[in-house]
Amino acid sequence: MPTLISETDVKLERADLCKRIVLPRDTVDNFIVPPARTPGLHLSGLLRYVAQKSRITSYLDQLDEEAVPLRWALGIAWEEFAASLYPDMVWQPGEVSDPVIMTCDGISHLSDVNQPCIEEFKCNRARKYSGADMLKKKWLWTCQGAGYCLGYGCEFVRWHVLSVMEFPDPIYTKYLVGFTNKELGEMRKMIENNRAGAIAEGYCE
Amino acid sequence: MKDTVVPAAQKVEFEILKPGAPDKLFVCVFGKPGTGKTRLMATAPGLGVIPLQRKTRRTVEDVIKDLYPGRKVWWPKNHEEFYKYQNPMAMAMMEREDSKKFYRDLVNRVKVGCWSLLDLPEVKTIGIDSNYTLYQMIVAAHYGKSGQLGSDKTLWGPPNDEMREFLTSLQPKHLVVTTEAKAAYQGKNALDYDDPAGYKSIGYDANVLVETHFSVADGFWLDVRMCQDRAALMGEAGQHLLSGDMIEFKYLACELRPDSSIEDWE
Repeated sequence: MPTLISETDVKLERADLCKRIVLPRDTVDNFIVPPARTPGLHLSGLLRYVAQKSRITSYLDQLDEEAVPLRWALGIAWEEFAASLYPDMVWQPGEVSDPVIMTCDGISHLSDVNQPCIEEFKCNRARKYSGADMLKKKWLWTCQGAGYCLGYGCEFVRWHVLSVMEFPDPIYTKYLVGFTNKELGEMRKMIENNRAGAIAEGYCE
Repeated sequence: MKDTVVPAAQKVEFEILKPGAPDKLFVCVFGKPGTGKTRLMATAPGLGVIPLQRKTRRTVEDVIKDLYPGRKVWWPKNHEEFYKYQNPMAMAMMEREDSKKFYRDLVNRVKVGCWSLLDLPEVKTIGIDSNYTLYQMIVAAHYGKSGQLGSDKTLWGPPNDEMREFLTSLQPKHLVVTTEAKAAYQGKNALDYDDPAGYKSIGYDANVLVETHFSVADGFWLDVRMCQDRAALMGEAGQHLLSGDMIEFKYLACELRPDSSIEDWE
């Protein structure tokens, strides 16, 4: 199990809204163009294959949510809003292809340990999870995080989670998590063990 | 921006460090009847059993006789109290408050039984057969028997919290719990496989959630369904992880902790 280093509830102030940056976007004819995705097996496809193989029903439910446009629209809105609050973060740093093709949301620098850190943004249709629960129950997130660490050469992931089912107001929480070399090694094995099967069963893009 | 840092761990527990000893394992095994759930539990070392169904005893006795003659298993003297309820008619007629009290007493007896096993130094593993029955008891202790719920909406939080806290309290020792299988659903659509019945979060709380199978053609085998300890066992590598005579606690433990040896789990 990865190590929860800190769990931070963030309270935005009006002044924060005045410090947002414009995120760099590619456009064509004034339309936003999403980053190009290289054809092949992506981390998301590989994890979908693993979830099918291990029959993780809760993850299959999460996949189903992607068919609901307003839900993923909220996800994009949250990522773009929250990312605009962090001028020092490199947003959408681009694809890497080893050990599998992947694109993380962002990378920043952890000054405390002088190391890079993956930044991931999640709009979660649930109440706020404690850090321990988040690591236990969000199998997909932790696998994604470990995969990104392998791809981008990091040991730390910070999830920026908006828990929208909190009443009366959503809660924004940052969870900083560290992965050991052993945990990353296990993730690498998972990717290697399932790569051929995922390709054979059509999980490539 | 104001940040409120919540400490990662409110409480730190300490124990004597034994260099090289692997951590305790929490295994949850589910499957259809007759696929070897109780048998897998019975192969665990230094087993103390909380039997919540009558048939547990025979399976445990068979395993000891066939595989580990002479091995000690701790069994409650008053075992019938765990699964011999009152007559069904009396249970069905019980008022809700009486029903809640009856099941609360039963749950407390199970908890005291498990915690008594924690105090026995020779007991290395606590086995609960089955956790589905225990979960039903806990739900009934909160709300009365399900048939009497009427139109009230059941809040799953309190029984789930109680279940989780109880299972966590047992983890100074190995813990093996069995649970029944039920058809898996995605929304309203039935899927072509089973999920564990009862307490939903068991796969996240346990080190490993495994499903036992049997078919005439392939015999007995075991699939990993969720493994928080070893990501490498998720997906293909966890399918048919163990089969036939290899379906034992010690072999499963070695797969989960590849740095350990068989002797660590005997």
